[in-house]
Amino acid sequence: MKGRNNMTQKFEALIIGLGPAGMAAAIELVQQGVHIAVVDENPEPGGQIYRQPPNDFIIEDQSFLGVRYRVGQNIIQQFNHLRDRITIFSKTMAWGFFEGTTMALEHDGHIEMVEFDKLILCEGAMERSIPFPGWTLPGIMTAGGLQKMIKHQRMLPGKRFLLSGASPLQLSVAASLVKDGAEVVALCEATSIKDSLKLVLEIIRQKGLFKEAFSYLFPILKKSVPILRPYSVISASGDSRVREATIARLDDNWAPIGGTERTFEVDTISLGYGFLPVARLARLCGCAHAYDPVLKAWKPETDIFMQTSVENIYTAGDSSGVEGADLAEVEGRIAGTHAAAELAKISKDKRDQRLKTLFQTREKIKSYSTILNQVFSPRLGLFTIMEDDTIVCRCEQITAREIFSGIEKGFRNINEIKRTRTCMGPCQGRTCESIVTELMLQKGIPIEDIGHMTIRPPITPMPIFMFEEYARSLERT
Amino acid sequence: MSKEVKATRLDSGIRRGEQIEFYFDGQPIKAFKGETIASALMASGHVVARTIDSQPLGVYCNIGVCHSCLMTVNGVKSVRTCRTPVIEGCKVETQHFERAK
Repeated sequence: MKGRNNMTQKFEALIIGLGPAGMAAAIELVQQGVHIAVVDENPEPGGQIYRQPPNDFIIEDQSFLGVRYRVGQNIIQQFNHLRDRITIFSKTMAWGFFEGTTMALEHDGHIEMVEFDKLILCEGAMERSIPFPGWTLPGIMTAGGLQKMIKHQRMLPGKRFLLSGASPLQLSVAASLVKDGAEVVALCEATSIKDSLKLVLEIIRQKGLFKEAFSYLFPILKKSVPILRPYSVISASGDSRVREATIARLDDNWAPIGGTERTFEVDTISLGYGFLPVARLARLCGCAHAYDPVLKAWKPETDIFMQTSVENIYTAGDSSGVEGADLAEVEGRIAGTHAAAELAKISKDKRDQRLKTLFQTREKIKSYSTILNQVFSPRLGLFTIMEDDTIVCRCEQITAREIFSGIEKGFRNINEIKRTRTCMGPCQGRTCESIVTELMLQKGIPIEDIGHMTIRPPITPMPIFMFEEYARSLERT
Repeated sequence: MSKEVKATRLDSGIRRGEQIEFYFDGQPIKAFKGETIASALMASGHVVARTIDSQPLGVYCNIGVCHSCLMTVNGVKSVRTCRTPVIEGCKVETQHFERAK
């Protein structure tokens, strides 16, 4: 954002999020001559998956960034070619939605309102948390968080790592760790070998995936990382950071089997239990959501063009259903193409011609991503690892026992159970909403009754001085 | 028991930014431009960002979602240090919070 003024800027299309979906939507729209703006929290485009090292670092050899980075460079370059024709709000957070056509932004402590005709929400995904005794100890990180530490900050947060989860991301993280000389004492994967065989055929069928999978497996096998499956971490202990991890073998329902426990001395644990759609803004905008039992998460409903239930609002990429970067890019292009036609920049014929190819690509990727999501969908046993005094809500330190007593008091809705103070801390339920939902389901409450949390602006805590400054700036005009 | 674990700065593949200094609970800490506050602290062996009823929390999601890494930066409370770049001379403090029972 250059300079401050109180003239509300207006754009034909506004895109939130510059991962693969947002970049693809932007490229399609700009190519059709649409006047657009994009908003992203990071300084540079790429999102989480194609995150680039900070500008202050000089990349001398890209190999540590992996196969995915090179895929990402293609679309980042396409986007950067068109930069001159795009208004970019970088290091900027979208936090509010007003009057159906205004998005509230915050950059460097300053608030700004932006109007749009079409809104494309590409909010991405976040990692799922599944609690176990000791999981809040420092030194325990999500797999994606650890990956960011290695690739973006170029640091190893510890020396002895244990990985646990149910996700292909684990292989990528383990590969990065061993290539950079870390010791991986165990890689615990909850899916059994039998279940993952379903994926082998698909991986071989899609050439790019095969290459990617191989690039991860090769270093892991070379360093003889012990891959234990079906296994999961079941507890951790330590002082000001984690020092020990205990793992156990899992049964068919992914519940730990007594007597199979093993304890390792570690200083860092990586947790990779898959991803959840981030759709805070979609919820704030009132887009209808549906519960996806495979993802164990609510997600915004869309039609084939990625339009939500709210007029002029689209959602694309992982925020609409966690199916990976390749599909995110295709969905972004679909949304962008459709919006361009709605804005009368291209004819319906040209739109349909373009969409036909995109729909075909989408089907091809979905045939794989659907199986992938099913294989790695967390089974209920994992949610029995936590004990009554295990923390569920990290921010407010609310235990499973407190959630259960809330349910006994008759709270049947996720918004009601917030009276236990769960989901009420600074993260506003981002981390624990899905866990609390799972505990409520276990107690027999139907998902329709549980519902999803109501989102209000600001969607992330903001200091009051920012609103005061904004109010003063309005008075001056 | 409390043996210190420091995050290791890797040299391969990149050249770090300029070396700078900032303050953690009053004590000077070395960092490099481009690093986040959280990672610069981890490289100095500090993993606890904040405590609630004396229970420590540190970087968990590392992408600004979980808010576990909140610290006070130059007097502003509850800054997500995993996504805030470290700046020369900035003053970072641990946050302690007691839950009202």
